[in-house]
Amino acid sequence: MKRILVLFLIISVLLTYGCSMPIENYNMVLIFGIDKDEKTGGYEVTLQMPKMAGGKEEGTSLGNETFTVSGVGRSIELAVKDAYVKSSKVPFLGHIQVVLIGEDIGREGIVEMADLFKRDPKYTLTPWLFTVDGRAKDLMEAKLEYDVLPAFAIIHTVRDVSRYTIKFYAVQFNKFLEGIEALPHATLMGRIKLVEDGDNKLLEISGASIYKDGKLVGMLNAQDAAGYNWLTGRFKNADAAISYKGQPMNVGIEGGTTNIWPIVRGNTLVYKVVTEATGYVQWASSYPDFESDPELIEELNAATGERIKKLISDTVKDAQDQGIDYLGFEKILEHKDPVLWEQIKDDWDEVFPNIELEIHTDVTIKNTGWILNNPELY
Amino acid sequence: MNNTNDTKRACMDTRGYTFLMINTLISLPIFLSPSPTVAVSRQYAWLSVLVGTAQALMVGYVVIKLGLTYPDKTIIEYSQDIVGKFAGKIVGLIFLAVFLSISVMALREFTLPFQGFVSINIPLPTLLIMTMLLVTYAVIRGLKTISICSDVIIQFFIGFILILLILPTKNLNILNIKPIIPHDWGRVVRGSFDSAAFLAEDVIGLMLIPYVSNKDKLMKGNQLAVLLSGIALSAVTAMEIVTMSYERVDSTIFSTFMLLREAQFSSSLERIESIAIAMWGGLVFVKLSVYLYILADGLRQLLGLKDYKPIVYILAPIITYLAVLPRDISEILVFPNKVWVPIIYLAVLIILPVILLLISTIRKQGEKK
Amino acid sequence: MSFLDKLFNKKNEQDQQDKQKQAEDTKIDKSVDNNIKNVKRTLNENFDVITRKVSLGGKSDQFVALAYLDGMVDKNVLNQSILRPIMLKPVDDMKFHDMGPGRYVREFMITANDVEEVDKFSDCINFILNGCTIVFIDGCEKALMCETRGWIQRSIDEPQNEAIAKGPHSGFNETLLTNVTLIRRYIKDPNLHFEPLTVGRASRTNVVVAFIDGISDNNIVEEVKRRLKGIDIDGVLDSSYIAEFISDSPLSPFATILSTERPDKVAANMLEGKVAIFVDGTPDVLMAPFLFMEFIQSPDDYYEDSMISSLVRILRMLALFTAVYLPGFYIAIVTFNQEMIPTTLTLSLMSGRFFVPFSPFAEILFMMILIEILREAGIHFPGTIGQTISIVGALVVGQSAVSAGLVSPFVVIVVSITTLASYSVPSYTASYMMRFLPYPVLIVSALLGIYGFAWCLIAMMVHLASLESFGVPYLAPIAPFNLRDNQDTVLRMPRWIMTYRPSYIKAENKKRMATKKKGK
Repeated sequence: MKRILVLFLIISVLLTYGCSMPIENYNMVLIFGIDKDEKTGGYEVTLQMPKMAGGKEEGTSLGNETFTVSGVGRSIELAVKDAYVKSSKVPFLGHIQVVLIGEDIGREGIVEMADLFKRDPKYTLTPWLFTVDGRAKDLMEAKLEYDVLPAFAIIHTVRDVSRYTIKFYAVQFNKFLEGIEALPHATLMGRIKLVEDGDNKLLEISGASIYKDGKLVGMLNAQDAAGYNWLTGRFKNADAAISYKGQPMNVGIEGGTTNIWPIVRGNTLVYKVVTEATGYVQWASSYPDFESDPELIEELNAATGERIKKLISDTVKDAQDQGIDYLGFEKILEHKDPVLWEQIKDDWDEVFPNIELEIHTDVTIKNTGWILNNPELY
Repeated sequence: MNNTNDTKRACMDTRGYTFLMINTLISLPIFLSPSPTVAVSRQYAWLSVLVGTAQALMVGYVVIKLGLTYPDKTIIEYSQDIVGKFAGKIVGLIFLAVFLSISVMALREFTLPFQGFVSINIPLPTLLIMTMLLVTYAVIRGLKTISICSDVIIQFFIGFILILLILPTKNLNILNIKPIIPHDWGRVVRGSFDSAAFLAEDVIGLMLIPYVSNKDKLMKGNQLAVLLSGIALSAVTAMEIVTMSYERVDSTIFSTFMLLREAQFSSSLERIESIAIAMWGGLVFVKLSVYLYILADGLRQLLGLKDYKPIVYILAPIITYLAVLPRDISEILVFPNKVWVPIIYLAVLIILPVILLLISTIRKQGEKK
Repeated sequence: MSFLDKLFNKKNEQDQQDKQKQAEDTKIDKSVDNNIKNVKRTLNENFDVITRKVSLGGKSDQFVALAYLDGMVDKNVLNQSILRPIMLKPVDDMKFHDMGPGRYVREFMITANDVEEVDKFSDCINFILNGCTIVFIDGCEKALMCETRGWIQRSIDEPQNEAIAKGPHSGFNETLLTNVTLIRRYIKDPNLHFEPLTVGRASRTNVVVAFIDGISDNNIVEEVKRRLKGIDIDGVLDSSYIAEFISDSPLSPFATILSTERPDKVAANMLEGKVAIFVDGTPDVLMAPFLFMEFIQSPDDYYEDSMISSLVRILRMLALFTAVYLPGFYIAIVTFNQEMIPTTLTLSLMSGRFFVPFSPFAEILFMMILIEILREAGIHFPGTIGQTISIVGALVVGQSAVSAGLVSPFVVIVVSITTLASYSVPSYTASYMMRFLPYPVLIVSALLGIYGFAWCLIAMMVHLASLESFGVPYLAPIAPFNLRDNQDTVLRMPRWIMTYRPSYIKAENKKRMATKKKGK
């Protein structure tokens, strides 16, 4: 008797099940683009979803066909719902891979978007963020000639290509939020633009974009982004172009670390930057003779160190000129010298441009590749 | 084979007791408490947790000392011996009221992730009724079943802690937790009360001591449980601060779920928060079962009845109804913030056992003379 | 009609009761003729009840009668060792009158191996029904029972359901004595006890409780005997009848009593202190207590290398878990919580389900029922065609279902993995139980999503935690956790580490071997 009652209770409870939405009613949004709507002054949201080519024959081939849906609204959520009613299936926002922010809306501010993504459980905080030179919608609607879906192309660039070059900076939403929320609320985001190469349209990810207080305040080109990467220790597989005997030479960097310390000297705040890197000679056009000249590598080390110093100091000076601390210096002070930080945190905007920089580099070129020296043939 | 009569009560050994305590102490805080602790002590939250553990260790010491003076009785029974019949019953009622409020709160907080965090809305009564059914089934089968469940879940929990500490290492940023030595100890201490209040639920030991078979190493077992819970909590808090900076931990309610959602160990091993949800379900289930058991047992002893099972059948719907009452999340969070930490922690968990211990010591000394 | 029926029924009952009472009250008569008449009457003059009256040693006034069941006796022994000496050996009169006929015949005449004196007539009937020969002697109030059992039995073959690659290949057969002897061959300890009982009113099946005194827990042995004595049933055809009666929770899908056909498994378990129950007429031997962890243990773990066996056991645990929970997890993810799996997996799932006309729940339910039908067909189809049909059927049907657009390829994979995983578990009872367990999990997960899945996980755990097998918690030694007992649950430690027997069997003699001192 007891068991029957319990069973009845369980069944009646189970039948009050909540709303379920099985997976075939969804179409997955891979790229989420947000722009400013010219006409109404609100938001225009573009969702890019893959076309499901799969089905009966060979199972689940995806191809690289995509289609986009746009919606407008006064707030982002309203714009998204407007896009909902224009799409064939319910867009699923839990697996967004890339978020593209149009330049216009970036300058106005993305605080609302950040709050929406943090709060609403429909969204996810793992997409990679990029600011678009221009409108996000144009980039998303362009017909690209990739062999994979554009979202995955971007992901692969960010994950895999970043091992070969440091000319761009890319960040995921959660790390971006960390940067925005920590003082002084300024950090970098990725930058993407559509380039045309003859008839082909391609996406180029290079440089970075600067956000302060949730607003886009500037862009960095590839060189500055490389300097920033050097400063923050992300310079695995970078290049340093130096010249030896007047001829260009390239030193490849394997990896290394950068440590930054704030030191107080008298009345000035000095940041000591120590970079240690190991490298190898990539190509040289001046026939360096490594075999007979053991001092040569020391010279090259010094030259490379100089080059790195220049890159880093250029970047820091640039930030100081703009008066925006997107380098994370205040956070470093907060965590390494909290007593001092408590005192000067309110005046950071004045302190930052006057910070002096002391850079030490320590480059070790470990090997010279396959060959040791080139006979002077050419 | 599970007796409810008082003659032979032992149904778990010291190790089972330790596991049960770890389970009960750590189930809610490991998911819920990094956020409020970080709000006060920022990047020193892990130290705050350790300070809170020290406080809870003192509570644990008092609890076990008091409990071992009457090794075969629960506090409901011997409180009448210590302070007299009427006051003893009042003390018993106070403890039972505290247990009731904890269990109602735990039940309601249990449903929080399934309502807002996981993006599907299961109606609240369904969740509560299904959970209480399971908890009632376990409690009817007795404390031995509950302790076996907690043994199994602790073994999974050890694996879970390892996952929590190893998987997110790709997103580490050591800067987030520096400086290691805090510059402002005031912050550290102010933030410690939250985790201390959670870990001081050790007082349920007062109700569980008669059920332990081998009481020699009970003090060591209890302190070990509190210590291990505190260390695990501190490690998880540290991990969260390091991977997500303290600002984000502060703003996210269930920071441990967020930790696992963002942990990407490789391109295919991502979004493993389903493990966290299973763990949450298991841990809070054991906590609820233990609380329902000691409530029913305590009521039985207070009222002088023989069998606790009918009380369970009456209590379960009452708790379910009480759990439906808070309407929204701010009403839920009022309890831990405004009531639990300042009032209940101080008054009931610390002062009351200390007073009882003093009185019983004085009495024993009086008897000796 | 009813009145007369009642009259007649009552009379039948009365007849039977009278008969029983008569049988019990009958004494062994001094006259051989009366004894033979009694035997024939009690056994209802069946055609295979043979009675033969012969002279005792050629004397013309002394007679001896034999009664036996044709087909159950070994005629050779009967003729050569009982009839021949009784009829042909001359009787030494002096000794005959000194000792009395019963003792004389027993000690001097019958050359069969086991001869006993029987006092009661009902015992004589029992012995006859068991295949012994009863010898009635003129002038003696006792009869003699000679052991002449010899019916045709199945040869000792490896059991089909529990075959292993390496190790002994013998299996029990339907004769109790053979089975007991197989155990004797493994354990030559004098403390090996076999205690016989009879269970069943009509079948009077011989049941033997076997244990090693000193190693096994006396409480468990007493409990087993007590429960066996409490069984009241008309006939026991198989040990599973007994298992249902004495099991702690017969309604639970998890068995708390092991049933096996392998003598090495029984011997190994008895050496750990467990109690074996042999039932005449069936090769399945019961072992008590039985714990959950033994579902993943198989005899060949002990005959192969310990490292590899440990890994294989872990694999079996994984298979056990998958076989029950995989369909539920799949449906919870697909219906409710699509954000809990990696992105590329979700994309594959989505595109696979594109053209399927059913909802995910109906699809997976349909597929699972299809596989169950194929499984039943494979079992009951005669001969070797059965195996082929189930394999071919699964492949072909799965493939065509996908091509026809009825199911998505994902579901076929999920269901096939579930089915295969349920076969990887070495115990046949376990795989039988696991056919049914995925369904409740599937239904609850389909209704409540990931919460339902977590609920099912905990519900199963609570159920297992509440089971006990003859006083031992079912989940021992995982919970309550005991480090030393865990040397042989999931991992199989090398043999020199396993110096102690499991501690949940509370006995005096815990050590398997002499423990090595440190430093050696």
